[in-house]
Amino acid sequence: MATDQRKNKTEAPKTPESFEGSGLTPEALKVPEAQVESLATPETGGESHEEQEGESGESVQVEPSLASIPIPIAAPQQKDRLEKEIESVLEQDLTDMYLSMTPVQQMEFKVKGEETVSKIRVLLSAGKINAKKIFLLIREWLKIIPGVNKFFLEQEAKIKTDKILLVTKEEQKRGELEL
Amino acid sequence: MFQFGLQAEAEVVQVSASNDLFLAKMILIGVGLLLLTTAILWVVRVLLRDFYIDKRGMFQRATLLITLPKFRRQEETERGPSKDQVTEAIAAAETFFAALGSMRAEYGLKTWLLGRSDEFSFEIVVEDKLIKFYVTTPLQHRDFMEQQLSAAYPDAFIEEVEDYNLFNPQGVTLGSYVEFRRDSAFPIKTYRKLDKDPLNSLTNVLTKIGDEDGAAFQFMVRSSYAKWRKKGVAVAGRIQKGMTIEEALKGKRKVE
Repeated sequence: MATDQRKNKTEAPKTPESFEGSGLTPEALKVPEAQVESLATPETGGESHEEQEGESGESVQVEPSLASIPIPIAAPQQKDRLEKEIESVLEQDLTDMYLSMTPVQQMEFKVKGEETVSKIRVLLSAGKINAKKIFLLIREWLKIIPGVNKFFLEQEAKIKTDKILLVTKEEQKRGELEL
Repeated sequence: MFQFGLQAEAEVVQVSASNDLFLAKMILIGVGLLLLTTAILWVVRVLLRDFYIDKRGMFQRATLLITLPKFRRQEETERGPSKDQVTEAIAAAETFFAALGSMRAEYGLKTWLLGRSDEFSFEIVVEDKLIKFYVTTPLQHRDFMEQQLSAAYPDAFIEEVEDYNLFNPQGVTLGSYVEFRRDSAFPIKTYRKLDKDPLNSLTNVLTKIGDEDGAAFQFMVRSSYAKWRKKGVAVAGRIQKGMTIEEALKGKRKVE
């Protein structure tokens, strides 16, 4: 439960995919950050878009325009890249085992894998990275593979955790350089 | 009765008995509290060790791949190294392990609670029909390990690599420990008394491993406390004084 709450908090900046339901196009999302900030600040009247006085003096309720919504753009791109890298790390060396599974098992493996990726992403976005939690998540996911050797599973989970930690470090360095 | 002061005497006895009871109760409470504190400390220790040994034993380590040339000299390629050359080569290992043994063993309350993390792992592994030498070291001792390896084996190529997975996903795993038949105070047969390179017998076994199988020898090494070292010296001293081996190990003479 606690994890879910943290997840909700950290997922506040929406990714382009998550805007699909709202009918916003990716092009529309590519608003320059400086412009977005300038529109959103109260000094420049960002909130005045909600309520404007018409020429006739009547108070007209205007729907907030897309530009007035403060959308952080750089952060989601970074998270997406990290998520993709986590996915690629988790996929590594598992192709043969995945192909040897039944379609039902493959589906279960895929769904649980995506769930694991999102959980790891939440863990990585927290201040202090807990390697053991990541390791346990990966191990739980790998346990779905039928008849897998216990030692193989532990070692594979450990290697994947190491790689994820490395990828995260690189991503953090890259983020610092971009700033 | 009152005239003879019997009542007063009886009172004195009563006070003394209640004092004794109070003291006994206090001792019992004290012992109980001590036992409870010890039990709590042990539970905390077990939980902390479970958490930290996993964490430090798995993630705060570096894996080094050591690559060595098979032959060091031109003449070795034709007729193999001589006994002296083998002895000389293994003597480098003796210096290397002596340096590891001279490290200060971790101690203190933190170590008692969390466990030691200064173990080094030396592995001979068959991976894809190749015999590889790995060393796994705690991150804080990585530089020390590299320096010692370079000093002992100047022609070794050391590189940090990702950890490897020796296990087969659908395979069966078998493992065993090797331990001393006698007490660790006794000397073991060393390279000085061997005619051939003992590594050859290990690597020869490993070359027979099939394509889909894997095998490894792992040596876990860490520095020990002075108490453990002193035991060997003390046993040797007692034997020199005329004690039998059994008596020397126990530390006292048999009473006849």
